[in-house]
Amino acid sequence: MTAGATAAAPSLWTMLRRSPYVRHRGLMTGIALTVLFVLVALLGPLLAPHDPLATNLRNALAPPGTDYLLGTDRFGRDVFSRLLFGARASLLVALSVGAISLTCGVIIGTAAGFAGGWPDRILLGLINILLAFPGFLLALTFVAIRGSSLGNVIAAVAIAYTPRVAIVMRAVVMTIRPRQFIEASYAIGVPTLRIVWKHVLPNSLPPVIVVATVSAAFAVLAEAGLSFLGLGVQPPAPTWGNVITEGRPFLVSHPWISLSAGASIAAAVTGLNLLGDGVRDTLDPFLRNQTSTNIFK
Amino acid sequence: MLVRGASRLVLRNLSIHFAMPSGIVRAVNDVSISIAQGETVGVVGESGSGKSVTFLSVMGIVRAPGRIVAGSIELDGRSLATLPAEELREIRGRDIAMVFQDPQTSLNPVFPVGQQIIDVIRAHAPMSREAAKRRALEVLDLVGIPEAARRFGNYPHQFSGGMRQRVMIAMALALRPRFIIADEPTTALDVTMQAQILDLLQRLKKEVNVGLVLITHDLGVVAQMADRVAVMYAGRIVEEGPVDMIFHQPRHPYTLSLMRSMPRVDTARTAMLFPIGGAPPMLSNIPPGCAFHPRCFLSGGRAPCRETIPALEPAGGSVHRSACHFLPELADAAVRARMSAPAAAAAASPPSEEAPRRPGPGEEILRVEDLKVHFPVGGLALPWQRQRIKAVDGVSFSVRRGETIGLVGESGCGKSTLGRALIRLLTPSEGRIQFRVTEITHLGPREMRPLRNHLQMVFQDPYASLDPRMTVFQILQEPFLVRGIWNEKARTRIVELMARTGLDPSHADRRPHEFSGGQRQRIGVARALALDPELIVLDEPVSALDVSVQAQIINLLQELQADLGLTYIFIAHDLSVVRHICDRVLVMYLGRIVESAERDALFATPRHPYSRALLSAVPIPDPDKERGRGRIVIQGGVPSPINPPSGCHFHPRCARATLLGAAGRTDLPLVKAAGRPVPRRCVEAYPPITHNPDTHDQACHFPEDGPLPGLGA
Repeated sequence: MTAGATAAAPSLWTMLRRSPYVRHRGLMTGIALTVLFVLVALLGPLLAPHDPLATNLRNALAPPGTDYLLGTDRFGRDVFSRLLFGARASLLVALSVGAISLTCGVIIGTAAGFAGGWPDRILLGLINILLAFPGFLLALTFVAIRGSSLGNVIAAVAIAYTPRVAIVMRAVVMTIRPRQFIEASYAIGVPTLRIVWKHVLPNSLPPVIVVATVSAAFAVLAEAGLSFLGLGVQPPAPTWGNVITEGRPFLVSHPWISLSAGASIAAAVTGLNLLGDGVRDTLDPFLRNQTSTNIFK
Repeated sequence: MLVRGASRLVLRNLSIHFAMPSGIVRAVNDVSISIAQGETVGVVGESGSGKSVTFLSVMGIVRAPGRIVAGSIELDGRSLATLPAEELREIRGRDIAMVFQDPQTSLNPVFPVGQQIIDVIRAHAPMSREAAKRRALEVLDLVGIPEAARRFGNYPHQFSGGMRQRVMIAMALALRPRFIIADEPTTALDVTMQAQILDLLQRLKKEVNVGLVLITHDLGVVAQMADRVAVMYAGRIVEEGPVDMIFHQPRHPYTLSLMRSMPRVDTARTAMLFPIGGAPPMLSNIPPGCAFHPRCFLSGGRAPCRETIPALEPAGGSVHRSACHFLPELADAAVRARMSAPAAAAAASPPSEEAPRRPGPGEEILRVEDLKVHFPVGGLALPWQRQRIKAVDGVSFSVRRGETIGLVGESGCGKSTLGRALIRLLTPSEGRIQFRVTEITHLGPREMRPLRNHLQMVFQDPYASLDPRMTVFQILQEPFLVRGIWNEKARTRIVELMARTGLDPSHADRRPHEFSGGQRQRIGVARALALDPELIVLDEPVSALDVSVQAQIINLLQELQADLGLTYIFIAHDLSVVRHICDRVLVMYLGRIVESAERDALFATPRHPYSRALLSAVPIPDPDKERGRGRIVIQGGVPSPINPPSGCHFHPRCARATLLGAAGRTDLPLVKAAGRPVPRRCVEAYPPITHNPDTHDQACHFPEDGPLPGLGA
């Protein structure tokens, strides 16, 4: 490479600053919060200053301080350590629910939207039946019947959020299917499955990924909610929902217990939501081009 | 034209820029023009020439990030650009009204049209509801809405496209404005509707004395309508003058090239078109100096063209102005001669004077017999209760190898459906299609796949027909991939295809949005060619392109046909292009072919009244011819193909039937149809197709003879 070319090429820093991803503040905040969430979940056991299950009744309900960063609960367990460990359950639920609802929703939605006709009406009917129940209520019923374990919580929340992904996917596929490049693919003899795989899916995923990200965020909330009601992961296992439940009787006198867990949930959910929105704004070349060129018509 | 004391709309050195994240878009640059009440000024330009933005600014509706950076807009000496929003709102609608391109979207779908007109009136004039309603009815009547009082409470969707545009015009007229700005008012309409609307505008101009600004890309419309013409390029007026001077003595290389690049409906030209090389510049990246110089045949890359922006100066009389550094050369006979010589005609691809020679039509390659394509409508109704759209309803013809067959008709006549059925993108309901020796009418997708090598299609919209997420290479590779070819041979073939269709093979890794419309259509053509097809259905392949780019694609298609012996079925609504490219033409109306004839025979002496109306509606880019032309304006729009009219489907709109009904012939039993007496036969029986010695097959009980005025060879 010549010296001139090096001088003309913008530095990495300039390129980063100009990149549409970096300029998107929401996306950056979302990525930061999500990375923090994942790091905490992965490294929690290494960072935790105390055993999350170790009780110490003499130190029960200690206020935040140098020894116990966020204080202790009524059994004297370190809230900070419990939160660090609790992140694992939340992350596991978020990722699993995101992945399951994305996969199932995309398959169901694509089948309904692309096939049209009777298959579409049957699938849409099923989706609508599931959508008629509030998602949380559906998860609650499932766990109530099947018993509470982490696996069941994941299954329950995934069932509640898959129809949401599916219905968005169906709608997007229906807008892609009549487009001319799909017809053009038929005209050159591309088999239907390949059309779905190569043309329909890549063009309809962005909005669906956003919905899946949001359902991952809601999964964090739902897991905490189920734990709070005693239907999620059973105590004394540390989860964010459990910590809130344990802090509930002391909400007025010792608010740090529930508040710190609540703040963790809020941060994780906000992070995932911002990430989803940011991805939609920046990754979709359609939206990008439409906003930048289509100014006269 | 100029009346003393008449109002005047003046734009002075107007510049409008849009500050976009990617840079400044210079949409309008130093534009000066004045329009007087009572005259029609045609503003012509390709897409992105700034013509719409210029006049949107007059209405004060240029949106941020757009901003008037210099110049002024004056109405009778009063500056509009600096007026407070409230006062500008007063003027908007009352003094200056606007008619937009798309009548589908410019009316509010949830209010009755009458209500919308009343709202406009009452927003400006202190008028009682009753008075406003009277005025609304008056203008609806004026613009030719039949039974205005009854249709007053109808919603926009209950009107056809042409009728909706009439409503828009009525709304614009409601407050007796002094100026009307019409932004491509007929672009979204069929040529027959366009004729009706232009007719109406012409009549209104005389009756209500408005100044009309007609923004359009269609030189034919301008020739028909305008008193004065301004030609815009890259945000500037490059030439301005009286309509006759612009058309007969164009004094700017761009105007000249534009006229030479257009196929015309009134001349049988066998030669290739003279395209303008390249594409119109992006307004964010206007070439320095004269913006047209990279595409100019006159410039030759000389320094003044590259460095200085030419001023708009008088060119032959004080009323004709042009912005060119080498104006005297343009008048030079030598240059004119050189220009018509093939070598210097176009900067990029010099076409030969003669169209490429191709062998005469060969053996029959496609045979269609009594083909019907019906679609059920009303998905929730029980199957036996569903109505059927008869998109194609009994069509027979055959195509010989090497021919180009034109398929024309208004939108909704079934021409696109027919084209898709021919290559089995749709399954016909009845009849048969035979390709070479194989009947393909009911082949399944799997059996059809090997045949798709031979039957291809180029789509209308080059923006929508390419997968936006794929690179050009991936798009062109797909036909090979699905046939299990992914070796070096496919790669070589792709490079070859790109070069053959005028694309730079080094751009193979770009995505469709990085190309201009013309280049995208080249990609579409390359994809269709990938498998060495024999027959290609071209579905309006140039209608989405700019005039100067159309010629490039048309020439490319003709060259490819000559070199590869292709057979084309060319679906189009632009009859000028059809006359240029087709050997035979089929005219369709409501799912049936009403006339089929050799190209020249059809254009010289169309026999079916519908063909005659269609041809006579096409504007000719020559003001003299336009003035001397009698027009057959057919009334109303295309009826619904669910319940087509009885007998001859065309009888409710047929001018011939009207004439015969009024002729008082004793030998002709009459009945009343569509409010007038017509021959009974027209209403009772669908006319059989008659074969004539002069190669006209037509389906009319009372075919016409003799040439159509204005369309001589």
